[in-house]
Amino acid sequence: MSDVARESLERVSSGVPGLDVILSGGFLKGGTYIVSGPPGAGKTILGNQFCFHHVAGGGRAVYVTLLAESHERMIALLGAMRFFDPTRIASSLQYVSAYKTMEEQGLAGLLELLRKVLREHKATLLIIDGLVSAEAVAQSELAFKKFIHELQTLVTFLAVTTVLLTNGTARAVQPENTMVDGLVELHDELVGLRAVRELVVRKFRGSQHLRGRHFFEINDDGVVVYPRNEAVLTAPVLVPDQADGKLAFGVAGLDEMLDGGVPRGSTTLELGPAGSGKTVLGLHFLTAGARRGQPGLFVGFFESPPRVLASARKLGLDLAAFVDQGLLEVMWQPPVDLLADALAQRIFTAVRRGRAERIFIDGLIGFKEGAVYPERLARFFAAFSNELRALGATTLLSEETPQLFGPRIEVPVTGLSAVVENVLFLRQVEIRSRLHRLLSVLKTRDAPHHRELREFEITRKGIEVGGPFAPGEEAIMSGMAHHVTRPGRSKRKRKR
Amino acid sequence: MRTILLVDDEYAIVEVLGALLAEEGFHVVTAATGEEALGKLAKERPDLIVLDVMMPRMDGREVLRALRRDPATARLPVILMSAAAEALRVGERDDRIAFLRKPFTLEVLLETLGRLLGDERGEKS
Repeated sequence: MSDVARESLERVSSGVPGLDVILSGGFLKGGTYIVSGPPGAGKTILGNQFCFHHVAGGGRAVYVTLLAESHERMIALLGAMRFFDPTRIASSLQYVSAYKTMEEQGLAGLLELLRKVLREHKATLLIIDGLVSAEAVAQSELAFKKFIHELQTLVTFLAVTTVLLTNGTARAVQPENTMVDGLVELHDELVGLRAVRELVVRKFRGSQHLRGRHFFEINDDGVVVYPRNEAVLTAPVLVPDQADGKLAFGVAGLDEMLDGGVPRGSTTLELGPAGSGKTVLGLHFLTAGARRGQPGLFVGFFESPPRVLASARKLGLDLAAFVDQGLLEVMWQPPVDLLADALAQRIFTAVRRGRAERIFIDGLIGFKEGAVYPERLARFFAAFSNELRALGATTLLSEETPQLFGPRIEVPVTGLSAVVENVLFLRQVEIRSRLHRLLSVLKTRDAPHHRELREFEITRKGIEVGGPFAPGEEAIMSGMAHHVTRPGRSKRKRKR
Repeated sequence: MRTILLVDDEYAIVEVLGALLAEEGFHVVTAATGEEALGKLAKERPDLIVLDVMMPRMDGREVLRALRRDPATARLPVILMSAAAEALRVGERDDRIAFLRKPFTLEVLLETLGRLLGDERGEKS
């Protein structure tokens, strides 16, 4: 089958946010799929969510339980979910307990029951919860495989998309997994102290899908999957036409160093230890844009929006007025049990909503905590910044360097310096028992910049950058400057 | 009641489709091979044959040729089915033969049955 033919197959939306993206549009109509996972992984919620979404769209669903449990308890627990709609039950959505039939008549009786129920109800979606019970009833592995095969044949003839929910078994190779059209695994893992839910599509016949682990949550919306950012955003982005030009910070000395500002559509990293002025510089960036009518977005992890706006006001930057005018959105996300992919989605949504042209993300802690696997961060940021560029935004990221003073300057995220186009470095240095704030441009891509150090002050008018700093000192940016005496010059001075 | 001879070497097709057609009101006779199908013709006298093309030893095309050679079955309606479109090119085209590419739905099969049997939707008679 050609790729074109595959992609033309009719899809059935799962109603699980993010899952259809991973499945390139949803399950294939009439296909049989297994969703496996340990108890508590979210299988039953996912199955019910699929049903309610399906019937809300005009389909008809049957939810068959093979477990010795009542539906009442399950339905009661689902009542808190937003997708739950009691008016659908016993009309377009039928719950069927097949445990007794299976126990008394075996798999042949179960198959007959399914055939009758599906036809009577004119179902287009079937969920079978507790496949492991059918396996337990089967007299042999061959009998279980035969049941699966006949079930697949039945639902194909009836064009019923089918999802089998199972805990799986201890067997290394589960034959039913090889027979069905797709296999979705739900995992609940401990990573360090944290528990994270992950979804993996192991197999999906007849269609492309996003491989690898994707995080998911269970909340009032049910199962919400966050496709891995770097897996979704693999295609090269088309940078909007207006990508030419510079965006100024509105700080005279810095804009001069940058030959007018940072290139539109670029990503800039400002590095510096705590208290070096990174946040203030970011607020300047947003203010300069808003004054030109360019919408902006502030993303912070520690200070609440009122505190950010109050801090800005003390520096003469009236961001609150821009918020009132709809030119600025302040997003606050405490860095607690975050998922980086969820955060990225929130930011993309905010950028689209506000048509933000300038974004300042004050610290990467939310992403570092939420990435769960640190080794993916550089790839994550590459995809993240590409998407922001595609959305027409110019991004400024701040990140704290670990040492206030010292000879080593480290980019805290491995590989990040290769992802960003521009790097600014802010630092406080001690020279002759006095602290100086210094600013330098370490890197700009495809654009000239001044290479000297500039001293700056944070005043009631914000940042003010002075001229080139301290001739005669060396290793200033290490924080431990020392004076250099050049013999030739000294002699000349003495002659004079 | 109309009688359908359902011929396929795949047991699940025979089992499941046989049950579905029976629920639709047909009398269903099944065979797992071409030879078995030909052997049941005289006794069962089906109104129509649903015939898989790709079967071992005697495939569906050979069964069709045998049917057409025998005056008693020469005009018997036949639905040929196969997963491979190529296999459905049998070189013979008349209004008593229909072709279905697997997988197909029961709804499509019933429409085809109805057309070949001259009924509204291959219904129970």
